[in-house]
Amino acid sequence: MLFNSFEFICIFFPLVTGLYFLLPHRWRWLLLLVASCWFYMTFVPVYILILAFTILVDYFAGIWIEQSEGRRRKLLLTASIFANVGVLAFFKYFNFLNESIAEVVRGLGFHYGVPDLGIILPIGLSFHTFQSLSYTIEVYRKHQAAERRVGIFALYVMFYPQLVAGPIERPGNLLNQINSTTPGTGMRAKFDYGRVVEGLRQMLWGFFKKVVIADRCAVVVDQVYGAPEHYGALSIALATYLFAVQIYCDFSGYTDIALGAARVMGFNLMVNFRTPYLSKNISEFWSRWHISLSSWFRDYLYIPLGGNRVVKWRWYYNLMIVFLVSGLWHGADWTYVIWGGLHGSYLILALVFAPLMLRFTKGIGLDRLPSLKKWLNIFITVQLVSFAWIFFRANSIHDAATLVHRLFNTPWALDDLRMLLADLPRSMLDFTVLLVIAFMAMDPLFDAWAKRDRPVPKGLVGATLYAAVLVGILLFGYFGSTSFIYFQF
Amino acid sequence: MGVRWGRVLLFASCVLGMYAFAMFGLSHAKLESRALIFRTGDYYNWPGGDSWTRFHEFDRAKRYDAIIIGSSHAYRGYDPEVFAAHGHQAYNLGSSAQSPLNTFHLIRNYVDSAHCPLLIFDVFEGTFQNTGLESCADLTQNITSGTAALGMAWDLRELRGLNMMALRWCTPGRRPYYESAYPVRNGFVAVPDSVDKPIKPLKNTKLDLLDRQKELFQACVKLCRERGIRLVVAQHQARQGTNRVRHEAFAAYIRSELAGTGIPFLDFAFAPGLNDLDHFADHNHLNAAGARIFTGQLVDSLEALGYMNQSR
Repeated sequence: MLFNSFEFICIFFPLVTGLYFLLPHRWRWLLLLVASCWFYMTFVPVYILILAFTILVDYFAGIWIEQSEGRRRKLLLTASIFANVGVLAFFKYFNFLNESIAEVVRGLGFHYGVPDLGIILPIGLSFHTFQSLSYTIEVYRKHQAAERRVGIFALYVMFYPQLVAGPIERPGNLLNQINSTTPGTGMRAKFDYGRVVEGLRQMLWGFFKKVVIADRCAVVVDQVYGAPEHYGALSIALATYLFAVQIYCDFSGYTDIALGAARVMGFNLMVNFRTPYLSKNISEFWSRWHISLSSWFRDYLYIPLGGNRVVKWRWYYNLMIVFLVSGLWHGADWTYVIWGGLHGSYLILALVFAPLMLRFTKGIGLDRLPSLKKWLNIFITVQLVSFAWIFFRANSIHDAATLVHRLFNTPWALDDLRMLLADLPRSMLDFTVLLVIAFMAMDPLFDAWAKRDRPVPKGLVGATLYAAVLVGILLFGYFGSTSFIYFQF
Repeated sequence: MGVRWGRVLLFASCVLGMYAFAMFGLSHAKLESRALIFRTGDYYNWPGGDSWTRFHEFDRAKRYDAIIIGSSHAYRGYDPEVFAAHGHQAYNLGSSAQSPLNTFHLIRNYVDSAHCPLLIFDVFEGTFQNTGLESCADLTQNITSGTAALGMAWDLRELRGLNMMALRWCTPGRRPYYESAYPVRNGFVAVPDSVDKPIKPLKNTKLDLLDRQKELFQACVKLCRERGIRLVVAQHQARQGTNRVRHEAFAAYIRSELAGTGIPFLDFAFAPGLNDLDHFADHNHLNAAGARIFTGQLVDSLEALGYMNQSR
């Protein structure tokens, strides 16, 4: 069931939320668990068994780890990690590895007989696997008590708003809210008009991002990325910038809907985006983009590898490893690995050349113009991130190479744009570009309101602003229940 | 509690007011002689063309011997002049991409047994494979019956239907933006062109008909029977390259739907008499010459089956 589907908006969400507030506190977990199972099973029902396996493994692992000490404790954690990563590896990476090995073996002139198993990736597998893993690791680190009730633990892994595309929660936040005994918090939340309105506003902004911006951008992006050899530099650059907007609106839109739906019921999920395209460097970008994943990698991979408290070459190595793994986490394809590698390289190069850049900016007097420096940095960061998106979005390595080649080797001609216009549905390009510009100007404001960084204007002004968002969805939404990009991860 | 309901009411009023204001403004403000609304989405249609003429020329008080309904196959393939040559009055209510969803509302609002004893419903696979959105976009702006427009927009079950109707309501005295490229005679559009190359057979043999369109097709049949309208389902000739397996599957489906109703399916898809190069305007529409031959064959069949009186 998609968040932008009729079934979710008109039936599932109102029904589950209504029942949630009608039921006594002690039964709410069961309602949410059943609803989450239903939500997940609307995709591929049988895949709930994989989820059940992960839940059971980590449930028992958590209890046994808590009861153990020394080597046995470590062994149990290792077993849990192996089980989780094993499931992920089989369903997500088997086909990829198999194809990659087959290509190499055939390239060497040998016969390769391992068949393609035609495995379909369970939706949101990478998200709930990481969420479940964070629980066992936190129990191992003695930061979290093991959960004794299997139903509650299952709800922690399966909580429907964030089940298929995050944010990847930590037990310290979500599990503790589910278990909260403080009246008015978590599962004990009462119907609070103000909070419900806040949640609905955040959901509304999420829907706007998805159906008005992301799905419109997708039409242009799909056209160019579907036939890269037909387009020149201008169309490719435009499509790439639009993809940067599309993926942000698609994913952060999903997150807003998830956070909003959870907030309506009294849960506070972790913030996943903080206007990432206003970052002044790549490091900052990763502290504002998909925060739940980047912090997961920081806590459970980067720091255990030694982080930055090692010799320089090892620090760079750690960074590169984290970003290559992050690339692979996103998808089983070499395009994602290159995307991750590019981000790792950006960071390493920034560190290597930092002293030189400092001298350079001082030398040209940019330090005396902090505002200009800030916007210049933002501009450069957007270019670097957008360039990397080419590899993320391209359908294959070959397509990515074609896109990059044509981006830098064809003239920036208006005729190219005219050809793109002729290939698109009527008026799709000009109006989409206008909407994107308007959205980029408004997003920081709505984002700050959603995160309570700023108060939402009261009375008629507030009502008018959010009414305009709803009217924008009604009038300019690109409908047809298109899926969210991050569901495939 | 009262304050909260007041806020909800204020918000709802803001939404309604802004929506009406925006829709009215976008449908009246023009850029390069085009209403701005047409720049905001690809599903808004300009009023005009053959659909406008067809529905504005249709006389609901007049008695016809037969009305033809269906997609572009209908309005480009069934020539009322051939009916007239056989002594029958016919009118063509076919329209672009018309699906059973749209046809149902047209029958309900334009066809009754007192003015039309026989309804010829053209079908082919494509009409059961689209949601009805394209036809809805065309008809909501072009037909004279607001009830039929509202019915099909509602049946789309999505927000685009609401927007199409809002556009219709916001432009009550609208004029056609453009003329049909070819003359429209009793709803029929005679396309003189012929194709110049043979069609490649489609490889895909899988037939995916939408359940919703199947439901609406059944509803059309039921409605005709309730109203005492004699219904004939028909399909005109297809080009030689057309996938036979796929067509047979579709024909079997139609026959199964009509089984026990006494309604015939006159399947001319592979009937002789037409050739690809002289009788088709494009990959699947008949041209004027093709329509003349096919309609003659159809009328002969209808007369032979007793659905129409023998030619005078």
